[in-house]
Order: sequence, then C-alpha cells, then structure tokens
Amino acid sequence: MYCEDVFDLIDRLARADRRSVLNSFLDEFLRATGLADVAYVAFNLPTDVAGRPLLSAACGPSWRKIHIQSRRVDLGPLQRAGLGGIAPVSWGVLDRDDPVLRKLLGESLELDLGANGVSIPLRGLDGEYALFSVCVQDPGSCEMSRHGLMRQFMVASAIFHAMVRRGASSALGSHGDRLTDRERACLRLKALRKTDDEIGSAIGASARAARFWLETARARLGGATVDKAIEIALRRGAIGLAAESPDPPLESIPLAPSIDWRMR
Amino acid sequence: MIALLPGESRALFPRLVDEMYDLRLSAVRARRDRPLGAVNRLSVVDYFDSLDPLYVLALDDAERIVGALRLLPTTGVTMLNDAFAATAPQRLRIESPLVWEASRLTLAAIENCQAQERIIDRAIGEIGAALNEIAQAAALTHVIGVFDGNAQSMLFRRGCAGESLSPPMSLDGMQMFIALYEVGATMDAQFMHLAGDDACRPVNLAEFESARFYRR
Repeated sequence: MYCEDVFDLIDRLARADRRSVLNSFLDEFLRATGLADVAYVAFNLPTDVAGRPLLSAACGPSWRKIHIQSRRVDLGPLQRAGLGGIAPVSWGVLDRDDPVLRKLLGESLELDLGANGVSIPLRGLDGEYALFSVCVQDPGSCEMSRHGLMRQFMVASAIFHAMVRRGASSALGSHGDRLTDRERACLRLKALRKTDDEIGSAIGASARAARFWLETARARLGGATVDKAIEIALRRGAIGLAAESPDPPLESIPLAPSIDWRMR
Repeated sequence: MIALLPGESRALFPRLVDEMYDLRLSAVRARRDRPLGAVNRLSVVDYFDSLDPLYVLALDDAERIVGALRLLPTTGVTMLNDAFAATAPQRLRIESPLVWEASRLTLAAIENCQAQERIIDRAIGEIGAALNEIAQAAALTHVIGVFDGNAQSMLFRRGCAGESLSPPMSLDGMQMFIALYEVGATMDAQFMHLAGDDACRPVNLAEFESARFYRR
C-alpha cells in the first residue's frame, strides 16, 4: 500500500458519516438489561444504503469517553483477539504482558470499570462479524455461576446484534421469524407447564430434543429466556393454550425483541 | 492429543491444515462413491472453511492428524442453513447463539486394521469430549452434527451418533445426517469411555487460548 493510500483512507474515515443509531440502541439495551459497561463493534454490517459501512461501533458512556479522549482509531486488543474467532474470550486469559492490553486495562481500572470481562464474537447471516464486550466488575460477587452469566451474555449479545441489524436495514431480520411446527408445539406444551420429558414424548422425541426446540424457539422469537419467548409467542398469537394455532403472517409479527431481565 | 486450530490462524499451521485436507481427501477416496477424477484438494475444501471456523484436531502419538472436525456458530452461515437450503425439510433452519454446528467430521480410514481401531476409538472419544468442553466453556446448550454416511456409521457403531433431527439429506450425491448432542455430563460420558483412561484430557478454556498460538 502506498503512503498516499493510508492518508487517503484516514481522510475518508474522518469524513465518514457518523450515525447515532448504534449508540441509541445501546442505551436502550443497557436500560433494559441493567448492564453498565458494554462495547460493540461490527464489520461488514448490511444496511439499506449502497455499500456497507467499514466499521460500526457502540460503546457504553465510560468507554466512549476513553475513545474520544484518546482519539483512538485502532481497535483494542480485545477486539483483535476476539473478532477472528468464534469462541468467547474471557479477559482473564489474555496476555497481560501485552503493553497495549496493559494500557487498556489500566484505563479501565482508572475509570472504575474493572479488569474482568468477556468478549463474545458474533457471526451474522449476511457475512458480518461483530464483537460484544461486557465488563464484569466483580465476578466473585455475582450470584449467578460463571456458566450462567456467560450464557446470559451470549444471549444478550445475539439479541443486541439482531437489534442492530434490524436498525441498520429495515429489510433484514432473521431468515425466519416464524416458528416451526415443532418449536410451536414445544412452546405450547411448555406454556402448559409440561415437563421436558412430557414434551419430548408428545413430539415423538427425547427430553433433550424438546429442550433443543425450545432453545431454537427462544432464539427465533428474540426472548431472553424460554419463559419470555412463551410470553412473546402468546402475545403474537403464534401459540394458543387451548389448541395449536397456525403461524400468523409475517407482517403481523412485531420485530422488537424482549429483554427485561436484569443483571449486573 | 487434541489441538484446537482457529481458522483465522490457519496460516500459522500449514502442516496441520495440509494434513487435515489430505485426511478429508483420503476419506472421500476411500468411499469410492464418486468418480476418482472428480476428487481433488479443491473438492474437499469448501466455502465454510473460508469462514474462519474452529477446527478440532485429534493427533496420534506421532502428532499426525487422525481425526478432524469443524465448528461454526449457527447465528452465521452454516452448512445446515445454507448448503441444504434447497433440500432441507420444511424450515429446518437452526439459528441460536447457544447452538453450534459441527461438520466435516473426518477420521483416518484405517478401520479395517484391528490394531488401528483403537486409534479411531480414541480420536472419536477425544474429539467428542473436547467438543463438549469447548461447548461448555462457551455456555452452549446443544451442538448439531452434520455428518456424511461414513462418519455417521463410525459414530453409530460406537454408540455416539447423537439423536437424529431429520431424515438424511442429500448433498452433492452424498447422504448427510443431522445429529443432535446436548452439551453436558451425558455427552462427556458418551465420548470419554471411548477415549479411555489414558486419553488426554480435553482442553479447557485457558489451554484453548494458548492453543490459539500453538506452533509446530
């Protein structure tokens, strides 16, 4: 690459459109989840406009301050470590001898964000890559197990990414917001307080398959938990407790996800 | 031994990557269900390999690959959701942050040799146990396996074929099987008995991170 190309790129970045949509999503998300310190960065995010943005990012207020103060264009080491992979990166296993990481964690401590957290890579349906990072101030004080916390972060990150996708392009969503027959049957039986074994028997499968279809139904509906997914499905008329009801047409399905659990 | 190879780091491990593709090639040739002329390195490297998946590799004592598996999250592009889009049963489309897809399970075609069968048992056991541990570290609930007939039959004979999610589907003239595994103690026990007492413990998250920088 020629030097002119680098300066040209920097110049183009400086003149690039900046949209507030991501940060407004993040603010809404933080309010809904009770999380405090979250950062999100996405590459190749599909949008309605021609040409995809090079980079889409949103940070919580404290991290935003750091980036503005530092005039930072470079991505942090967490983003670099996490964006390429598919597995969540716990900050505890990162190389703390890395000077860039030491600086970042030092800033994080100065701003009382803590030096513990997790970064979750996200892969999208249209080839986009994203990374969702959460600071966990004191993981030891959290009532939930590390595993439970990680699962909530995984779900939260996917819900946030779905919100961003929908905000970036009205034409996008999941490739199928409607429940499959099995998902609908499992959700309905779960709503009727059947056990996983009973649900499995009813659909001619095992309890583990019942749990699987409940999870895919939860993800399809954008609920934070299976119970929330049941609420959404009942509200949309996708399931009925009296008898199985057909899927409503896609147009009638509201796209806003439900996130109302609280975690710190 | 189990080595985890993140796709984005494949350039750092050319020997492992070459061996993995060679293993796929020899597995396809061993099936003899297609003209040999149609089988070459290009035909065993597919689009999904370009998506930086996570590879789980089983190595023997001489550090040669005897088994390999590819992992992709179902929130992105996967074999089940994309390669089978035209042939999948109605709306069998899986998208969840808590479910990953395991595909391209390939094992060294040395089963006809009694002495070598133990190596395959151990490779399947260690890959399965590692898969369970990786999935637990990522807080997943389930893993879906998309396996060809050969891999499915090897798993079935050893009692770890998972639960069938749909009738077999066709891809490029091959029958493919969709298997469901629930992450947890049951899955671990299912595979660990194959790995045996002398098996390497599957990697934990910290080892997994250091494996990202594993170099020969």
